[in-house]
Amino acid sequence: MFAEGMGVDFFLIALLFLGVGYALTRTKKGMAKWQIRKIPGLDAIEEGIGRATEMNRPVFYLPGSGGFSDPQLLASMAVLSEVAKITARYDTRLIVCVPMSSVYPVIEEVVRQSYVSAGKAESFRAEDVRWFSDHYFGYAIAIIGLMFKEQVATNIMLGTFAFDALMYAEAANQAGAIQVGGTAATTQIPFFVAACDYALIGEEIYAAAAYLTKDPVRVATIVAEDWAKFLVTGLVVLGVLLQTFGKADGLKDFLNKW
Amino acid sequence: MKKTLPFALAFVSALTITICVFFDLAPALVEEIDKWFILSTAFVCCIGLVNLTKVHTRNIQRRGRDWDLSIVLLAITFGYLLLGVVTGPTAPLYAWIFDSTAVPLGATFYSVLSFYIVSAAYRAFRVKSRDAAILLISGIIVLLGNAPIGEVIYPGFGTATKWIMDIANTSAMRAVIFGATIGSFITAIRVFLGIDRPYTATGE
Repeated sequence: MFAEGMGVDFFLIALLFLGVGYALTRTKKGMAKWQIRKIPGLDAIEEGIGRATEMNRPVFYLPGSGGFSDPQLLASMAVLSEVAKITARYDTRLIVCVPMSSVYPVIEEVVRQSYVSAGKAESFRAEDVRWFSDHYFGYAIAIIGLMFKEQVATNIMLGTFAFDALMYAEAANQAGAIQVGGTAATTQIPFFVAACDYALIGEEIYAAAAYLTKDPVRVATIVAEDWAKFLVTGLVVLGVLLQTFGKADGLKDFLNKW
Repeated sequence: MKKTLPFALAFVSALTITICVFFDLAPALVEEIDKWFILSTAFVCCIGLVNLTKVHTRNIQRRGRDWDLSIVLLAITFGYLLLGVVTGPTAPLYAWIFDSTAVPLGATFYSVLSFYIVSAAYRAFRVKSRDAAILLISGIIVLLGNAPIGEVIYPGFGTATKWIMDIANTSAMRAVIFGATIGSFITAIRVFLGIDRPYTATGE
C-alpha cells in the first residue's frame, strides 16, 4: 500500500495534521487562548523600523537565497509582509533585495499588497524591490554597495543564507545599522549570533509571522509544532534507551521497511 | 478569483504530489508537475532583468546618483546578453569574458570573507556577559585545538576541542535541526491549508 519506507513518515505527518487540526478547532471554538513566549529578535523588528523612521533612513530586508521549495522563504515572505505594513504605516522607506529572479515578482507583489492593505498604496516604490543578479557574487557585492550608499538604519535578514550572511551583517554594521538576522541553516546560525544585534535561531523564524501578527489561527499551528517537538523528544529518548540496551536493530529494520 | 484560484491550484498540486509520493502512485504525474514548476520559474526569470533595466533607465533619465554607472551596467548587461544570443553560451569569447572577469572578481570578493570573520569575531568575543565569556573560552579552546601550536602548549586542547565539537556542538545543532525541521513542516501545512498564502501576496 505505502511506498517503501514511507509508512511511518505518513503516520507522523498525519499526526502532525491532526495536531494542527485539534489546536485550530480549540482556538476557533474559543476553548484555548495560546500565547507565544517573548522573542526579543522579533520585538526588535518594530523597534528597528522606529529607529529608521527617526533617523529618516531606510530599512533593508533580505529574504535569503531560497526558492519557492524552501520553507524558510515562505516564512520570510510572511514576515516581510508584516514589515512592509509597518514601514508603510510609518512612511519609512523599505528596500528589499531579492537574489533570485524567479522569486522577484512574488516578493514585489507581497510588498505592494502590504502597502495597499496599510492604506498607503501611493507610498510603494517598485524600484525599492531590487534584483541584481542570480550570480551569488554579483548579488552580494551589489547589496553591500547599496547598504553603504543608502546608509541603512535597520537590516533584517530572514531566510536561507550561505557564506554571504556574514558579509551583509558586517557591511550593515559598518553602515551603522541595527540588525536582526534569522536562519534555520545551521552553518550560518553562528555567524548571525556573532554579527547581528538580534538573532533568530532555527525554528524561531517559522514562528515569526504568528508572533508578529498575533493571529490566533497561526499561533495555534505553533502550539501544534510544540506538541510535535514533545513527540520527537519522546522518540529520541526511546531511541537512546533502545540503543543503550542493544535493542535498536529491530526498530531500525521496522523503520527501513515501513 | 485572484485568491481562490492560486490556492486551489496550490492545494490540488500539493495533495496530488503527497498522495503519489506516499503511496507510490503515478510517478509520471509527479515528474510532470515538477516540470511545470521548473518551466514556470524559468518563465519569470526575465522579470528580474526587466526590473534591473527599469531602475537604471529611470536613474539615467533623472540624472540620479551615479547615473553614469547605470549606463555602464546596462551596456555590459545587454552587450553580454547579445553576445550570448549571437555566438551561443559555449563560444570561446563568451566563456573567456566570464572566466577572466566574473570568476577572478568572485574569488577576490570571497577572500574578503576572512576579514569579515575577524571583525565579527572581535565583536562577538568581547566579554560583556557570562554567555559571551563561555563563547570566548570555547572559541579559544577550539582555535588552539585546531592550530598545531595548541597541542605544543597543552596536549589536552585536542581532546577538549573534540569534546566541544562532537558532544556540545553536535547535540545543540541537532536540537536546532529538529526544531527547524518540524517548523518547516508546520509552515508547509500552513501553506497547504491556506493559512499562509505567500503566492497571493499578503495571504489575506
